[in-house]
Amino acid sequence: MEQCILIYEDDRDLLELCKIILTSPGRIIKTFSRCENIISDVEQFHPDLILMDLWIPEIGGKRAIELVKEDKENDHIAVILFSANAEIEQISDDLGADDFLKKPFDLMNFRKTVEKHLCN
Amino acid sequence: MSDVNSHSEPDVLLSPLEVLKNTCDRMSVIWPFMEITVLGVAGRGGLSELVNKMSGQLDLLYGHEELKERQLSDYSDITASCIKEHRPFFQHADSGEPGDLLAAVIPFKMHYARKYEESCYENDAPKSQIQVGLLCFWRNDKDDPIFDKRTQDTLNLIVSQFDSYCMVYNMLDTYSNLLQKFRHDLRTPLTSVTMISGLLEQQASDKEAQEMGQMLHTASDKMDGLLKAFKSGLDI
Repeated sequence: MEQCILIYEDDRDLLELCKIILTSPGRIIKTFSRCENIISDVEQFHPDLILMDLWIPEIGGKRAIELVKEDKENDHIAVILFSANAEIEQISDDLGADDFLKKPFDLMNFRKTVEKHLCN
Repeated sequence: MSDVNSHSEPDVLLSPLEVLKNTCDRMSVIWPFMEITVLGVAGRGGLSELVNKMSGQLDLLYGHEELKERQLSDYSDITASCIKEHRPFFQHADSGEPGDLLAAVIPFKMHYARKYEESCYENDAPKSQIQVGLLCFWRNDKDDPIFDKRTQDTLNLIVSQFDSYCMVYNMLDTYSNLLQKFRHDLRTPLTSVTMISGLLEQQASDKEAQEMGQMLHTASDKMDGLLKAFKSGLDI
């Protein structure tokens, strides 16, 4: 069965890089530089995992994840937050996110964190 | 009893409000027969908009709530005029109602930069918020003295120095916020560099690419170290 990952990041270089790194057979990667349509994106693609930047237009990653987690249909979807925010761990806990990556993170850490939640 | 000259050097730059409170504490020691209140009105936009907000919108920044109420009900003309014309009011011996306790109202302006918030997306640079304040002196008793000309000049000088402090503080605060934003924003491209270095290091068949990856890795680690060191110097 195909896995689906949605990546939200407003830096297009990092967005493209994440897509290149995670692309593999049997996996669909969808990238977005804005997050206000997250609910319709989730309904359309039924992702297994969402990677979300905190600082992203138009509503911000925090609100976007709240919208996903508020809906019982979607609250099983794994969410990894990434941000340079010093409070990322606390924010991740508060939002009920499954994991977080503090920028700058490296390739090994990125892959390991993503694979962990795809396996789960 | 507190001494007007007693003070210790702060570890961080005090906010205008903290400076204001300290100053009022010291003035209370100098003029024990005076009760001091500081009222503030906050908002964006010009002074005229703030004057229109006067009725019921004043915050008590220093002093007793009871005097705030008294001022609002009995002295609204004076306070509104002080804000509108940005000119102080001083009670004269031959003016005012007998037994008038209000001795002086001195207006001042404070500018607060909006704090940079990392967790939400902001398109705009931090914007200032103007706060107009009123420094008010109340005699405890109608027989207590009012301020003479020399003391009035001193008070005007204190407020003028405070205005200057607010301006400098606001400038530093704005720059501090901008630097924090730059620091935050630099970490995203740094993540890209770090990830690319990882991809290059994994090129087992290409020794040159591996070496370049290692060099990039070292460079990004150094940049991360600089950003961390930079952090401690940002907060005013």
